[in-house]
Amino acid sequence: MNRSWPVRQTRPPANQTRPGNKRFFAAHPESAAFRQWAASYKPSNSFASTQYHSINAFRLIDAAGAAQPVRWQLEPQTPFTALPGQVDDKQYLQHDLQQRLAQGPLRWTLRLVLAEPGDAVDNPASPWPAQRRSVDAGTLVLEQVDAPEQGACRDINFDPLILPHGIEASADPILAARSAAYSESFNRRSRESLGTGARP
Amino acid sequence: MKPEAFHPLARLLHWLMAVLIVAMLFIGVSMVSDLSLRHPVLISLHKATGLALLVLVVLRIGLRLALPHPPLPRDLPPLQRFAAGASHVLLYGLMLAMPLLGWAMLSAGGYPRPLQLPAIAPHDLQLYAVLRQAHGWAGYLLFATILVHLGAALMHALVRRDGVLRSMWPGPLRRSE
Repeated sequence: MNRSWPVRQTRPPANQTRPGNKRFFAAHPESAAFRQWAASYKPSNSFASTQYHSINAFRLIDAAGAAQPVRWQLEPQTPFTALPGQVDDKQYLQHDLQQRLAQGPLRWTLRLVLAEPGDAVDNPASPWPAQRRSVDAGTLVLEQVDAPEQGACRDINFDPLILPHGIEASADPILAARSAAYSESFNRRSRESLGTGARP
Repeated sequence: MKPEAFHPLARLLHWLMAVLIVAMLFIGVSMVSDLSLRHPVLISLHKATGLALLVLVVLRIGLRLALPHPPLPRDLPPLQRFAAGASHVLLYGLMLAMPLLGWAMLSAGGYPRPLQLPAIAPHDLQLYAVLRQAHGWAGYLLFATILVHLGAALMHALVRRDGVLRSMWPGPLRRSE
């Protein structure tokens, strides 16, 4: 949660897309669901009030060995406020997060959305109906933030296929692609760490 | 008295490991660039086979030290005799180093290890960088050494026509002429 994404200072209107994007969308009709979502998406003014969710499905295995496909969501306990149209600070969200953490921890509810038969469990581009049953599985409490250049953020490969006992990958091919790409990314930043000498 | 051929167990281990090692080299090179659903399958296959090869190489080094093995042909020039010795030390060293580097690399990278094996190196990104690159380069060196080994075996069989390849041949041996 401490990656540096610069805040875009001027957002193009939703109906105005770049020609490259247009060609991509035309060639990939399966992107329609994403465009629909993006058109109605209002970014919040803080990481703390943002909902995070997996687009990939995972399988929860019960004691009898039966699998329940799920997608997870982190529902913010901080109320939503829209991002202002004009933001001058390029590190606006990072600074906001630091300010909020200085006042106390931030919380998200971990919610597992349960798939029903027929829901796409191997296609992250296909959203599940909003009325799917979900269970609260815990609370994520964020107490402090590290710089991204070192520490836990840098020294761990956040590979979505490294899973605890009882949780398995779905047949979603994007999970395998992410695992492969994250591994290469981890190798590259490990080599980079030899040059900078930064240690946690 | 020195035997004419390697012990059947030594020959079995040699050819079993030869197949596994060649498979491992190709799995290793292809899995890192594979973005498909084969990627996680190849990774777990690579780890499991690597662990099996570690057990096999320890067993093999023990057998090599314990069992008598056939001497090199007496008329082999000293330089080739030296090359034979050195390349075998390198082969054994790399066969032992490859799985250990893989295990240490997973430990240093904070990755889970097969069979929940303990870490043999501290979780340290810079150490991981060194071990990961060493694992890769040692793999290429092993591949090159295997090609030299294969070339030497063919040289013994086809050019010198001595009994060196026959002494490691996987099938039943002819009675000595």
